[in-house]
Amino acid sequence: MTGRYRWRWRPGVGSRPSIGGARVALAMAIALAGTMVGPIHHVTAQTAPAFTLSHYVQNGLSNAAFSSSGCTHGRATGGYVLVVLDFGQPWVSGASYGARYWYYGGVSFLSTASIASYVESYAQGFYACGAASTNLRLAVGTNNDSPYVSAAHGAQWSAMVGSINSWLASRGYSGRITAAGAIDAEPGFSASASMTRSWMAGFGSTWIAYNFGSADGCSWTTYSAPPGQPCNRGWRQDDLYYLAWAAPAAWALPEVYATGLLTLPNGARSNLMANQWEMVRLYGSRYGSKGAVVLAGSMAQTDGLAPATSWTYLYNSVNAYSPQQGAVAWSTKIVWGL
Amino acid sequence: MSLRNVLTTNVARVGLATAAGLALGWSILAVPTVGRQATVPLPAEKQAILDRYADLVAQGAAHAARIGSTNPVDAVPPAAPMVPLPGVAVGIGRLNADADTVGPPGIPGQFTNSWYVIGPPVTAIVWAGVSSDDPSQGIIVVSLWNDPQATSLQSTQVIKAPRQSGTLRIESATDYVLKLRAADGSKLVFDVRKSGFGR
Repeated sequence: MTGRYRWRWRPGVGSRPSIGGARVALAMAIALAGTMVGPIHHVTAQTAPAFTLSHYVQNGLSNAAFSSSGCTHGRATGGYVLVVLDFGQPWVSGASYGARYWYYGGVSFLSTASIASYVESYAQGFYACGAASTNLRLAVGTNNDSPYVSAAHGAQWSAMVGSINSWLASRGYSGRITAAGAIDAEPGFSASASMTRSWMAGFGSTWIAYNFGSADGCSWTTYSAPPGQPCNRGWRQDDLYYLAWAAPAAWALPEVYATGLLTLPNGARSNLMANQWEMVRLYGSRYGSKGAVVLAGSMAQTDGLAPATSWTYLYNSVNAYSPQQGAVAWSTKIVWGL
Repeated sequence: MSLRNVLTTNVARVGLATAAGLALGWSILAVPTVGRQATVPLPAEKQAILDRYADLVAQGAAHAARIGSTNPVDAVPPAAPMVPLPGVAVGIGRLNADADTVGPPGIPGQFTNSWYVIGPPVTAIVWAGVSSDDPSQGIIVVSLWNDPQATSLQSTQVIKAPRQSGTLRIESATDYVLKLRAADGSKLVFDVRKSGFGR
């Protein structure tokens, strides 16, 4: 586990944004940061923020292990950060909703109650060990690689997030830690676009659900009238738009890792994954009922780009075309195990 | 507790500042900008969700201020290092059902089932299946980790069956010795400790 993931603001570093861009950057940083306090001139992040570690949950689990992991992150992290705990496939066992996670070469089922318990342990460790000025958005993740991707499962996942937030409030933790849902929604996974849309619709409009998926097979050069350009397995840009922004709960945290390099129209460097999402963002700006997608942060992986590069590519893409987004708030890297 | 008292705590101030920050942030975003879309209002339902979070943060900060250091959870020391799931037998191998088997990441092949043992001294997972390149070539994959949670990978080996007898499946295990059956019906024995086929 690396210790290099302290959040750093770099005011005044990098190119000077436009007046409009600065305003948007300021607004984005404040709004996405939520609990950030301090001088507002700190919020224009022109260089990659230090990253957090997110986790694919796997193997032997215990509340102690989650608490220990939360403590480690709390000690190492400063500012306002995002962590995703990905519990794997949506699953239903009997009457119990939950997820199946990777367990020593197989899979094992966890109910939403068990997941909530582990997430709460993580939060407890983070709270106990983190500085009072550190704030955490703790996103509880699943994916769309399952036959149980449904509105009912989305509703249960949202209810679980609600129970975690109630628990955090009852302990006095919610001043520093809040929970959200998350889904690794990818065209390449087994659930169809309509099933995945149903999950997101079922999640409702009470809490945030971060989409930390990829835009597999989507165009990285263009967008077109609804339903947009095709992506893998019959998905269209409009499906990604819904799952990243048009749905009330949806915010985008795209996976950006090693794919083909691009030189953007303004000369900046990016890659295919980042620009696939940028085309979805622009699709929303031109055709979407809710406007341009706000890409809240980048997610790197262990075997891909360095988190700073991942973030930089996304940042470059969302600011290479009009309308520019401005700031990208978060950078995280997802790893296997706690 | 009066509002004035609440405001005397740093925690509460942070919470209230947060709520104000959220409102300020999105109100700035909604202001017309130069060289951009004329207005960028946050969709109302998203604003409502952010408002809910802001309320939660403010209430949490106020609650933390009320309970202060009397919160017993705050006194709990950091948890112990990672341990296996309670109830998981350390050192005793288990077979994963075929339907529950997930192949080893990054290894090309189709995998029938898997067997695992949780350390110490090591955690091992053994997969049985067939090579992607040659459907007649059965393979075993052995991954070893240094910790019970299998986060610190020591090694991964791909071992070919001695004969091209098709897909392998683990039928049973005794201690660290696995009995396998190949697609052509032949039986094989694999010793995990030796990472090799035997008799």
